[in-house]
Amino acid sequence: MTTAVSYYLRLLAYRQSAIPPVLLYLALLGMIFASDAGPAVPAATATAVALMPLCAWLMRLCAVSEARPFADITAVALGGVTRRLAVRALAASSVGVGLAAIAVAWSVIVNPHPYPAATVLIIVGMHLAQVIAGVGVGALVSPPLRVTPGAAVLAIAALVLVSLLVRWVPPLGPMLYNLDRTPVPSPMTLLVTIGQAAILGTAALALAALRGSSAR
Amino acid sequence: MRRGSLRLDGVWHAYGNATPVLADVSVAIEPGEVLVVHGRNGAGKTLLRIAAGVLRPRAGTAKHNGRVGYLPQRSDDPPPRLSAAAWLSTVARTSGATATRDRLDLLRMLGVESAAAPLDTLSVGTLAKVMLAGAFGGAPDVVVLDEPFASLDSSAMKTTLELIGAAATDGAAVLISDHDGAAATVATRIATITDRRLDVQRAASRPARVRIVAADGKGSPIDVIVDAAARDPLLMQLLSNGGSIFRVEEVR
Repeated sequence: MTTAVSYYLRLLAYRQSAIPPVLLYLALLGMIFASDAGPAVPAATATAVALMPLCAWLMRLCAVSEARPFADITAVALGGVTRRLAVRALAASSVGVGLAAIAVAWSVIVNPHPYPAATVLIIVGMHLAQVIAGVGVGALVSPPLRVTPGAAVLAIAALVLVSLLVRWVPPLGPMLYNLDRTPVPSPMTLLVTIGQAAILGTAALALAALRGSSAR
Repeated sequence: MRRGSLRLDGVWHAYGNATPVLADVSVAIEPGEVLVVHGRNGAGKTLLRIAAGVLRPRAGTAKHNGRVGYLPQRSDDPPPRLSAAAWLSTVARTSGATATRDRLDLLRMLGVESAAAPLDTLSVGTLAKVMLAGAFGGAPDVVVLDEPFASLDSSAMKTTLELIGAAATDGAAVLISDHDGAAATVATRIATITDRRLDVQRAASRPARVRIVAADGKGSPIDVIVDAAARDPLLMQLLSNGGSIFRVEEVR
């Protein structure tokens, strides 16, 4: 499994297609923390929410990084397309987790607001939930499912838009509306808000696994 | 000795809402058997992808026993900057067969001396040989080859036929899609896909083979598949050396 994950990370690096979205995210972090970004949790909401479409695209990049003949061989070597999907998800997630770590560290170091341990934990959870949600959404717009690049961009953008505008639509709406406020909501609200993004991602991955195994 | 087998039961498949490309396909490939599929349409490719476990059929089941070595027909757009050795090593380690060395030996047998060149700089023929080495490496129990001779020179084609024969003799179940007819010499059965169904017949060119399960004079187990003509001399030799014969069965 580790070999396969590092194989996909190598493909991402060799194809260099992940560089623009990663640079874009780092630029976003730079802009958010260029001045006072506000209290810890609201500031983290923006950096966490931006991870969702980024990780969705990273997941697609992982899937398109190898042409179908080689992807088939990888699937056979791993023991099936579901395992290949899991490996791709792990590869995309590992990049997402790395970016989440940078975002959290950046905010703790640069943002002039208190960051108690419990708050840092919440912020880490918010970012990880969006990584999972993004990877899951990305799996639904990636090979072996036949979705063109344009349609994939539109689908991700549409989900981001709807989720930003409608407060109860996960993965972004509840996080924005429940967490981006002062005082910080109760631990249960935080848990539910973070949890639903992660559940959405996991469900999307399961659906992609189900549909992908019989796709062309 | 490998013990690979492959079984498709009542397999149906269609892409989307289109007309099925496979309808009620059932076939079993036992250890030591080589099934060659003819037919110039997309159904053969679908059959092979289902057999290899890349595609799940809409209905029916596809089961294989043991590790699978798979060769797809096309080799376009290989991973960039990744050397043949690195790719073969990844395939070996990912599939759980950690020996990369045998794949490099196979590559040399097929006429490729160096595996250091990146895959995206290789010619179509050399890339086909690298992928063949990936499919046969690690002694897979089930070998699924989609038009293995398409891009090969005559020398590599001969070596590939030998590899197929050796794998079958060692007990692997082999499924080949072959439009050129080159695989007929190693086939134990030949199938054609007609009207979405698989019509399987015994290959005329291949002598019947038998599996012998026995023990030699020292009690060491023997499990071999040999041509029927070699059966009697082998059994006589076993008995004259004090061995025991447990089972002799025909391999279809």
